[in-house]
Amino acid sequence: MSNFIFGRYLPLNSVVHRLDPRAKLMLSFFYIVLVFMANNLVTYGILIVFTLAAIFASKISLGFFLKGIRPLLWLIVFTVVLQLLFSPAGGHVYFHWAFINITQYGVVNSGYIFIRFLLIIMMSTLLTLSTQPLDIATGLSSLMKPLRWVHVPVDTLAMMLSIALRFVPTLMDEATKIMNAQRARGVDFGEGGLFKQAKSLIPLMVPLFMSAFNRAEDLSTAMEARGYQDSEHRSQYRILTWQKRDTVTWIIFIIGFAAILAFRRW
Amino acid sequence: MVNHYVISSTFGIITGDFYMGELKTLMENIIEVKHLSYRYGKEQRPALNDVSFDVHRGEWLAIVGHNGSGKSTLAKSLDGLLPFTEGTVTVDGLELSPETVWQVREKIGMIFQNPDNQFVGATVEDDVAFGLENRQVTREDMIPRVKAAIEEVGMHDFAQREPSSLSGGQKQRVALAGIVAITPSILILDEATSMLDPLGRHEMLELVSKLRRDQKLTVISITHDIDEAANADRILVIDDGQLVQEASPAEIFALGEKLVDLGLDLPFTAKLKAALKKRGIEPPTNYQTMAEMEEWLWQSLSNT
Repeated sequence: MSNFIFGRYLPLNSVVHRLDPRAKLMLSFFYIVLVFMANNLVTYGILIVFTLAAIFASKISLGFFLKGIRPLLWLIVFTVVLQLLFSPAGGHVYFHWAFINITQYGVVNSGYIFIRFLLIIMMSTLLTLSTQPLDIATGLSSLMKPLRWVHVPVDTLAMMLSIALRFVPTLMDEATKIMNAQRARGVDFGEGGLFKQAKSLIPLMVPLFMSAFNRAEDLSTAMEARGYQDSEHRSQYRILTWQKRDTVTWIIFIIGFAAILAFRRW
Repeated sequence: MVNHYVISSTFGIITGDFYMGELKTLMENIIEVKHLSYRYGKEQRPALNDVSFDVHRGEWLAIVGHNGSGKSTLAKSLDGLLPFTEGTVTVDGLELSPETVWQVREKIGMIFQNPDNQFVGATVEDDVAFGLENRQVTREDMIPRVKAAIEEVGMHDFAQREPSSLSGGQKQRVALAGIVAITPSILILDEATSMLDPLGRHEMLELVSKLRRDQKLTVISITHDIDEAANADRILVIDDGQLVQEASPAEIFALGEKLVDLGLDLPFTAKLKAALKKRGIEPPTNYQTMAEMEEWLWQSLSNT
């Protein structure tokens, strides 16, 4: 669990950390569009420089990103190999056997796929490493606000998301306590075959669920006692403010977008 | 540390007496409970059975009793958190009903047992702001009120902290700040100190005493803790859903070992008296503070 980098937050003080989470979320989506628009050496070169510059600006060491890639390595290798072996004929054929073709087209394409994966993982790792989960939640709910017009309960969803995030560490602590208590009673966690391992989770999950339900009950009483009626009729203490640096970052991205449009192979 | 504890708990009792004197001049009732009954689901035995009492404005009322005696049910009924079947509850002139329940909750701040399960916000600030957000206070108004409330409970160094990095006592102080921010006139502590360590419990009670003086709060505390009950002006004993006794702390603590039957832990002085009796030494039977007991011990020691 501890070497799983993707989805963790690294508290540092950098420009990237201070960016508005809404800007970061939108730019991450925009970046994925850019990655799929790039289709030659120059455009991928631009993107690589771009990504490395963003990582440098975040003051997070490159090692974290490489660690972030590791759990997804097999997925990347699988996709690249698939692309390499089965891409349609095109260019020079290097190897041919039965239905397997290794062509020039396939080699180039799998190289691009590899770079695409790498870039997207790096940028989304940067998003989660530099943004607190709570800020991501606030950013998401703020971006979802237009959905109110089609009667999506955006505020309730935001409240649920924020409470869920707030209780993650509490329930983690609880799980550790229960595991220790059950170990003291002779339960082996993480040993034996798959079936046995799954079975040993029952004495963990049952008390954990019971306590989570009790907590939920207590919490709803406490919220009601504190005047909570519904999520729509509330004011907001935590608000996001769009800063100059957010606009500047957007401008940089748009320049990058223009460069990719100019240099890509049409 | 020990000395400090003794001195300040005596101090608490003295200020308590002072309030008693002030109260006798204006015995206005802030809460009136008449013939309150409550039954959980289809259970035969009622959790509350024809309970009637008044709470005077500005007093500190303790409600004690065994586990399952109905004292928490009573506390939740006062805030409209449980829809009681019979009887009436009037809070500050307002009779509790489905129509008035939100107005009544404006007047009551409530703190529960488990510090974790009432912490709603992601950080200390956000949690203190929760009650204000519910009341649709504007952000410009909220910022100074949140800041002042956090300072009132001495948590200003922790304003940005997440609940997982706070102790139980600190979380309860944040809960108090959340109540200070909405300025109610009544504070209900529903076993709010029972999950804290002795130091956290002591700090919490000192803070409640201070807030009560500063904000002119009426305090109702549901408790097992003897120090918490000793802070009160009046104690109600509840057993099996019924009100069985109403007395001052002095009268209740004179009961000695019988306190255990009421659902209270024995105070240190009562334990000491019991131990002395076993050795054939006859201590005075009336209730005594820690300091009085110390005085009596010194005197009897110098006489022998």
